[in-house]
Amino acid sequence: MTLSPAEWQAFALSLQVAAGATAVGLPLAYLAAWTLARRHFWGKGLVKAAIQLPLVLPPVVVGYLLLQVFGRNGPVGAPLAALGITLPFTTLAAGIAAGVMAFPLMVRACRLSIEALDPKLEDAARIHGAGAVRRFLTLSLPLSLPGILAGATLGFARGFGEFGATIVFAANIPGETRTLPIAIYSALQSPNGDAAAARMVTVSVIAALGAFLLSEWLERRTRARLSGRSK
Amino acid sequence: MSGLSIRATIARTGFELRVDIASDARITVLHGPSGAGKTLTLHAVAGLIPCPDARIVLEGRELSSLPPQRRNLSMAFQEPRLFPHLSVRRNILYACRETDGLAALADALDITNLLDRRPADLSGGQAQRVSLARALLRDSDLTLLDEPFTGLDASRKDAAITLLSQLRRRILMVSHDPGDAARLNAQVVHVANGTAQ
Repeated sequence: MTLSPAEWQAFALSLQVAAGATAVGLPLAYLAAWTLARRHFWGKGLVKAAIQLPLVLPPVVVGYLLLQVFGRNGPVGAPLAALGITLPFTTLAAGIAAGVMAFPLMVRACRLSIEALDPKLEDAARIHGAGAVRRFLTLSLPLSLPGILAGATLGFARGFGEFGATIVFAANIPGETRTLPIAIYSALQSPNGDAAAARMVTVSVIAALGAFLLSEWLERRTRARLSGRSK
Repeated sequence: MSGLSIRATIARTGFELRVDIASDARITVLHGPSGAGKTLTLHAVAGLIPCPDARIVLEGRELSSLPPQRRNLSMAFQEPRLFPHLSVRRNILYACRETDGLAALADALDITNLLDRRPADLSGGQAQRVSLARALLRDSDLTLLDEPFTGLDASRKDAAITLLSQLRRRILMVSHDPGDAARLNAQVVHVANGTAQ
């Protein structure tokens, strides 16, 4: 069983979109998680709800909203268009759609690990001269690494499988926005596409399983390192 | 003016402690029954609990307005609070990057063979000694020790007391054992019935 060049292209594009969405989204998600876990501010509930919204909205609705915001007449799209930048129906749009859909999952995983940090350890660091940046780099960040890894896995998986928001915001352009789920959908729509769909489904199952096992292994290793046991 | 002067009102739900301590002694021991506020007093000096009206003066330097990391203190907490992902060596050096005194201090506290281990591999007494080493290696203006001998067997407690007696550093510590203060030639502050003086 081998994929055709077009199917490989869809697979590679999915990997690229999911990796990009995770790489860009994860630091932002960690920042948002840190703010939600550690800061008290007016409207925090609203911010939390807005971040979680893509989890409960139909993905097609998210795609539509992205199109409204980043479209040629949208509040962000119009100034970008004036600069000659068009986002909808591009690979970048597919990345944005995947990132937005994966964002709440990444924030949640990071937030749980940040909330689990023991503030007493931070007090011990503070009294021994560690300022905020050093405490973050030497304690909070390494100790929340399992949550970051979990967030990366969930985000990547969500981005890899994204369909609804992507097809609305980025459309179905071969080589540009036709990711693996969209390619499977297209194959199923064509009269003789069953075999192609089955091939791509098999590849996605293998890829997802491989990614899951890799992340499990990484997470176990990280937890073992952080648990405090000598090798 | 005293070397160490602490005036503060520490208020918690259903509890208030008025602290008025002036000490010129190198070692000051807070002594009193459980729940009297000894640990709270140490935490107030460290700046780890809000204490708006506190006035803490150390060798003429006002500490109260400074955040904990800028007070130049060190502390061994009641529970060791070691960083679980760092080796014992890196835990101790977290407070002080100068490695010069580490070997001698580790030898005095009998933790030399523990330096490359992780905190989870340590017994309670070992972790307590590592925590003490972390507080003592740092060249701080005041070392806060909260029941530093808890979990130590008699010979190691003796060694720790000898070490504290020999060190030329100002120490404010909590101890339940009145004998400790005598052996350390320390000034005793009684903490009881809502006052520490």
